[in-house]
Amino acid sequence: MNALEFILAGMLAAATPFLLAALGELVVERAGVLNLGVEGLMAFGAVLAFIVVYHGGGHLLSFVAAGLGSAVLSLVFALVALGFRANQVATGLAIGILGQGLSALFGKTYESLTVKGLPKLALPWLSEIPLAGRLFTQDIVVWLSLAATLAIWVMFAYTKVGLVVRATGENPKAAHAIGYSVTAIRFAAVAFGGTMAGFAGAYAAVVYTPLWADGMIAGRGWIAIALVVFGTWLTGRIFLGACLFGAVSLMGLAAQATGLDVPSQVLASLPYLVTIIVLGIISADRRLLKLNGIASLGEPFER
Amino acid sequence: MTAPLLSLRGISKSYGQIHANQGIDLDVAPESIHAVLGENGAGKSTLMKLIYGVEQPDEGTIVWDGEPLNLASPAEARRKGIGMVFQHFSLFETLTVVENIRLVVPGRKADLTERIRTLGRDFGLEVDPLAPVHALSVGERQRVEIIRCLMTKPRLLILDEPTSVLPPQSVDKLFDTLRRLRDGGVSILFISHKLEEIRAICDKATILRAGRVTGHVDPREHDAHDLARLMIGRDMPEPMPAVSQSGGEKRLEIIGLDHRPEDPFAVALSGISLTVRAGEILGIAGISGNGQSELAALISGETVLPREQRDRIYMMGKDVGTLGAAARRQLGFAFVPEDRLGRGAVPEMSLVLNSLLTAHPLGLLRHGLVEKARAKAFTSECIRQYDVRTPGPDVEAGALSGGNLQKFIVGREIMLSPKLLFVAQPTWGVDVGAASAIRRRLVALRNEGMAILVISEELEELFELCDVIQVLHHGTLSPRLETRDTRPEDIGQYMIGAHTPAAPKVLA
Amino acid sequence: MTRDLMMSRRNVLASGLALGVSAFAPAVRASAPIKVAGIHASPVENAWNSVLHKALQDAAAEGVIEYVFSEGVSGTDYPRAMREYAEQGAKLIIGEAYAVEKQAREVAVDYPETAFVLGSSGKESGDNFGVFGTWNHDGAYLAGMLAGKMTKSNVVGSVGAMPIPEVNMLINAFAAGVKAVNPDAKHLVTFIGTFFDPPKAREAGLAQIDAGADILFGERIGTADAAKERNIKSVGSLIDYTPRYPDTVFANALWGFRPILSAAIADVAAGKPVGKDYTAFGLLKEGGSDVAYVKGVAPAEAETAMEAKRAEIKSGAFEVPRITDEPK
Repeated sequence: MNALEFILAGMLAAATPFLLAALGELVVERAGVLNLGVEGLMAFGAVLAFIVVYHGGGHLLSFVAAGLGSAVLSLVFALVALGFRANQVATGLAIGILGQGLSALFGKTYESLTVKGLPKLALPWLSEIPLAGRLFTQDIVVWLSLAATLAIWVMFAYTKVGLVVRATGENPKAAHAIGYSVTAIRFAAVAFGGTMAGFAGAYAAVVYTPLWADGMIAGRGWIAIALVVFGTWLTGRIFLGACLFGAVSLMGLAAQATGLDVPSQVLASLPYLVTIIVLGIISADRRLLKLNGIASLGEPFER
Repeated sequence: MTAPLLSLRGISKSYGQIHANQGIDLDVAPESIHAVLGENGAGKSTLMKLIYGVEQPDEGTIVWDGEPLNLASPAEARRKGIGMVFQHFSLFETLTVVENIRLVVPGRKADLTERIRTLGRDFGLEVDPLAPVHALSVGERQRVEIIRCLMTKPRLLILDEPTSVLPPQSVDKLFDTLRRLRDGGVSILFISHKLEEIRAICDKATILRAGRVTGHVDPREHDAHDLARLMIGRDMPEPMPAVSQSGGEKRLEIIGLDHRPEDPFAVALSGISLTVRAGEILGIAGISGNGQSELAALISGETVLPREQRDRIYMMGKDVGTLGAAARRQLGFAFVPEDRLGRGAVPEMSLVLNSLLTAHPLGLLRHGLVEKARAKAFTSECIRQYDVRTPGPDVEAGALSGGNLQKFIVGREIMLSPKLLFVAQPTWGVDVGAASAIRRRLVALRNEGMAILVISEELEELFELCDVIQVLHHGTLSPRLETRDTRPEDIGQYMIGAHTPAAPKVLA
Repeated sequence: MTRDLMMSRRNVLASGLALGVSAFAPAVRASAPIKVAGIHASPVENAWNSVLHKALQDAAAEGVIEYVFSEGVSGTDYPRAMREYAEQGAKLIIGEAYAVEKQAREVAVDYPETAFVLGSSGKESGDNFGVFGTWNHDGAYLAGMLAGKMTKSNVVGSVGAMPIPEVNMLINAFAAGVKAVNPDAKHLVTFIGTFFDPPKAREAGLAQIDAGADILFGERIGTADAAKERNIKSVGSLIDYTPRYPDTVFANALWGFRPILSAAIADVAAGKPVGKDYTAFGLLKEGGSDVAYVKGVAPAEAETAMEAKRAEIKSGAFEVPRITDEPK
């Protein structure tokens, strides 16, 4: 299989951890909250999922466990940052560190152990296409995350729930004035973000590389946060950014495999550079930034 | 006598030490337009919050349509048939009109769009349902707010200072709408401090002062003077007579200034030319959002012109366009910004420290260190001369009432003995007594030879203060209009751009 | 009374004699175990640390040392941990200085009575700071000999962390082993740029498989997952991964720490300075590195050839080349 096929085949799966976490953080930030603890939430979800699968609980249960566990941890963040109105940046970082610490603690006895992954499902007919066929052969979580992307896009564009979240983020005082509980909406958004981060971590540890190693999330949570901002809080762009990042990472590795004489460090930096440049260019319209930027992001809400 | 729609008895509400409402009685008849009159701080907004369910009264009863009413939230108020349009709109700028309405009114987008158009036609509140709110003028935004209320089929509609954001023509249109609503069976509760307007539209008025009711009258049977007396408890002082002056030296000159701001939602200025001479007050009128903030920043020095654009702004004969605020102040320029808290004064700091902000050149510093005694003396003098009601100079600025803080800031700037004084929105949110005092002071200074530039959205104020008025519309200035030769309706025409060569769409 | 005195005097004389004798006895005493502290930057389940940990535990089980340890010690805490153990009386501290090269040596200067032998990219320092590297290239060479005969596509691949000398050496050794039995084989190399990122290693492995490799050498974990997914074989590094990937990992380039530890302990017990490089004790002929493989996966003649080579390495007749240039 040539490099292009390789990239197409692997791009969606590589993007899935970023995508799930970024979609979660998108909802959180749209509601006006900045949660920087995504990395830790992912790590926590990852270890919970791994432990469940390792002891025979099956993949479905592992995702449920990861989602619930990270949701609970994210609610701790919500309690401190929204309930006690502590600084959101500091609180998010603290929860992130806590999440990573917990994942190291729980995962200690499972270091380097492996579990079985998930099979890939091939879409009929589409997966027979030459070159791009492998794109349509993915494990079920990838398909579900594509569905999630679509659902979130529809939510923000058409549904009342999406409207309410957007309103809360743009003008919490006005939202409160017309009778919405800003705090309740933000709590719900944070919990959702935590659940998605848990799913993202679970995917990394029990499907993508079905093993546990301390630190295996390796910064993907931070990249997810960056994707949300560089994608100007638009679902489509975030999806594009995640795929782009995944694709360019794979491209760098494929390039090394073909013996291309470019230093590996340069290739390792390419995904970051390309994603920043592409998203930066398409988001350079200041009108768009003002229009989509979240006016109340990170600010505590006082009634 | 038909039973009242809404009946309040003995309503009281306190916030800590402040008794916002004390023993209020109020009856609103069906199909009536009822005004609630009072100066800033009299308790009008608090009373409305109680009626709308945002807060709960400490004492007293509310009877609605014969039944006692205990509202826990605005949503419940809406269900009962009470709607409210706040002075500061609760609209979301990045959403469209129909999306904004959808947040409050259940229904499918298509149905709501249709209803918005219908209501707009029936009540003269036309607005495009699919337009994003940030693209709407203030008048249009107000219409969205009113339509949003109407959709919940209210029987009582509360409007908080609705005309403060409208040009004269739009005020008439609004009143037309209100009359139609009243004839359609909706009662209106109308909060305002504009006496002429209340006399024009309302059939009943309740006057509040310092948290209590001082009278229920039919405003059509009283003149503005009587109403004012009920509002402030004493006669309003006469405005200061202007001593005619002419031919003073030019203190501020702006020649053909164009400015394109970085913020895409800000207003671009083009061809701004104005002159303010010694012994003259020039006023700039205009509906909010036509470039006033941008122009103010350019004059104050908060926005500095790039080098290519020298020769545009002159103060005291010197080219100051590229100079910052501090440099301009050194030439004898003083400035009272429109935001008292945050730009004019630091809320968390004491008045003494706030004096230092701009008055430090008056010997309040020595070798870079603060002379505490001198600063305190300056502040005390300012408090005394300008009748600032405050326990003392060490009180935090944020604890003062709007009017008192404004008096302090104006006083501070005047004590710098500037040659050129620029005041933006001098009496916004200021009670009648303080507003009158400030205006008298400005005219007195003018008589002594100061050059004063005023930007204000209150047309009455400009007519009282200014020798010359220019109107700002979409970033361009009208020619000079001598106040004594001009009528408010003429100004209104300029405000909506009816006189500009390429007359853009009418902001009705 | 007199009797007591006489008894006690005898006792004093007897114990004094015993003390004197033991003072002159040779330092190699099987009776008193040496206090050794292990400071691990990662959990002891981590591959590299597990090798150290096992050797230390074995020595403790034999009674040669008393072993206490800390794990998951971050770079910022590492020097402090070193000081604490030295203060508590550890005679030998084993650990890793990779993140704290300079500070670790500074700590050693402050505690001249304690011996420090740490994994390091740098040189030994003073009398009490010794270093060791991770040389499992002997095992890698031997595994390469098996892989070279097993590949049907004639393309093999290695996934490594970063092109630092130690890693380069290891991968070059694997390649050399392959080339020794199969000069036509092509060797692909990918560096993922980090030491801890299994998903990335997997992606790199997949890339190589798609470029034609049918045997992988996984210097980083995660590579075996790629091999497993595509039903090819791979070689593990440092420890035996076969139990975790029974059908995939057929050979492992093991590393053994015991010889290094024993040498260090011997020096400490003899009172000799430990400020030297113990790396060479990790070679196969010292009992350090080795290859662990599943018999019958590679062709029989390959195994025979490999065993022969192994014997040569063990006897010292053959030395696996140590090339630290970046493999291309």
